[in-house]
Amino acid sequence: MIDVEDLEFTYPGADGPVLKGIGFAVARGEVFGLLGPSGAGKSTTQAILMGLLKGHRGTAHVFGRPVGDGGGAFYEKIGVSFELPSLYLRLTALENLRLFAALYDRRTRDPMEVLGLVDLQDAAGQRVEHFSKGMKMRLNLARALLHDPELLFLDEPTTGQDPARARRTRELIKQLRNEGRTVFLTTHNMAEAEEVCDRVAFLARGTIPAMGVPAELKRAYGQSIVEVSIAAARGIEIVSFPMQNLGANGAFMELMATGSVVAIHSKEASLDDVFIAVTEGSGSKAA
Amino acid sequence: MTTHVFSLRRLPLLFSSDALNVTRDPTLLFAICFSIVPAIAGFFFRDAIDAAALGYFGVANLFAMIVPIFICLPAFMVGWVTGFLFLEDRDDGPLLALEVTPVGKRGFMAYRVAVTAAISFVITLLGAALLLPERGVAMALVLATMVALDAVGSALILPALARNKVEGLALTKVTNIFGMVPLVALVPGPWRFVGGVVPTFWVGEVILNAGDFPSWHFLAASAIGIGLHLAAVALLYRLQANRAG
Repeated sequence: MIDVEDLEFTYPGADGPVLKGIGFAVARGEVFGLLGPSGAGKSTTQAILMGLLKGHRGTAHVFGRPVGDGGGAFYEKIGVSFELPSLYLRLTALENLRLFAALYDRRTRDPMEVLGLVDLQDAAGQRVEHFSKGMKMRLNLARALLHDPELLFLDEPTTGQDPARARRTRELIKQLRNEGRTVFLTTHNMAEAEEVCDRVAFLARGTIPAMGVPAELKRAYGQSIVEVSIAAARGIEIVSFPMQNLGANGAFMELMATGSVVAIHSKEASLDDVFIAVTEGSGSKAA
Repeated sequence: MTTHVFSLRRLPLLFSSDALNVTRDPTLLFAICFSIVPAIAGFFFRDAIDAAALGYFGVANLFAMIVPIFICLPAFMVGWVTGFLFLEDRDDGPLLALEVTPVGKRGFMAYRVAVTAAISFVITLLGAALLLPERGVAMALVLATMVALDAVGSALILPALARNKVEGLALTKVTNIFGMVPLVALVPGPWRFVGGVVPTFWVGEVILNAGDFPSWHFLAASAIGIGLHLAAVALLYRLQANRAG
């Protein structure tokens, strides 16, 4: 669906390139997360893939064609939810969707049905100027789904949403994957990326130092140890053991036999740990 | 960047949504409605205006002198509303969302400019029929063409030169001066043609000095006026395209 190789981009007048030869591929039906700190080049990458930024070097193909070659037909097949609300404030949610529906040649979905997907059907007749930021973001997402796109670019889709709404949005993203759609997600929210992404790539200082399946990255960047919490006279104490040959570790087996074990955890990294490790420059790994 | 001709069957839906967006802003709605008031007032109170001007200021035939303003005003206001919508789309974000649709921001801009020109053309034809009925169809068509291009220029100058709505409002105070330039055609003698560098001057020249079709003066003033308007629109389009990126 998306193929990127040696992608470089330098903004006019900038001292150096913002993208320094990155490469990745996104398969059809995959949710791919591009993660990284602000200014790392996530939005630049997304803008290039959407055909909005010209002048890149290297290869960037979407739907098997170089970006920018698809013309209007390309935009019939992609849906974009931007990081900031980009809506007509004086129009209602329903009127916004009707206006944008008029810009597509392909048959668009029933706007009320799309509003239902983001739980805004009850606010369909409400002017957007009275919406909270979270509601505006959900309407952004609804607009991205209006024309049934095959590929979705979602930029921080849960921004401004309370935990319950954010969970529904994540469920919707998973549902989109189950329908066979491809999602290119950019987010700062590592828990969200871990929950919905099949694979993630970390973008830092214009390069991708780590890319892979979230669970494997967590293992790769974690420590190969097991932490055992035991009930002691002074409260809970934690004892660590190397993961390797754990079953043959006498001290570990002895501890198990005491009956004082409260909990056992493998010490894998969180995606936050991976983010910090790769963006602060402590090595690159592929998983 | 993409430009795409969208389905004509959806044009009414797009237009009605856009019109709703305008009518829900009291300022924009007032600007549109107010723009035709002077022309209507002129039609009904022509004699009273002339009598008052003669009585209070000693000016005879004032109405005939200020007709160019009545003709230009609606187009300027319609164009201003369109220009302000462009700035609003840029400030509030919809322009970005339009850019990733098959129509693209250039296509959407072309639609808005075309609607602005069409509305102004029709209003000017009606205005000419109302205020200059004796001057004929050729005069009405020439005025409608020039004034429709004025409206387009008025729409493009805001996104071309202003970075946001606040700058747009400040710029409006300056651009309003162009609406007065047709009155330069009242200056006797060839010195008035100094005003000819501003396209709107030629609306005044055609109405006040050029006579009727097919006089050479009418034909020359019309040709120069339309040509200058087209050049101004092309320049402003390039400026706004450069700013929009």
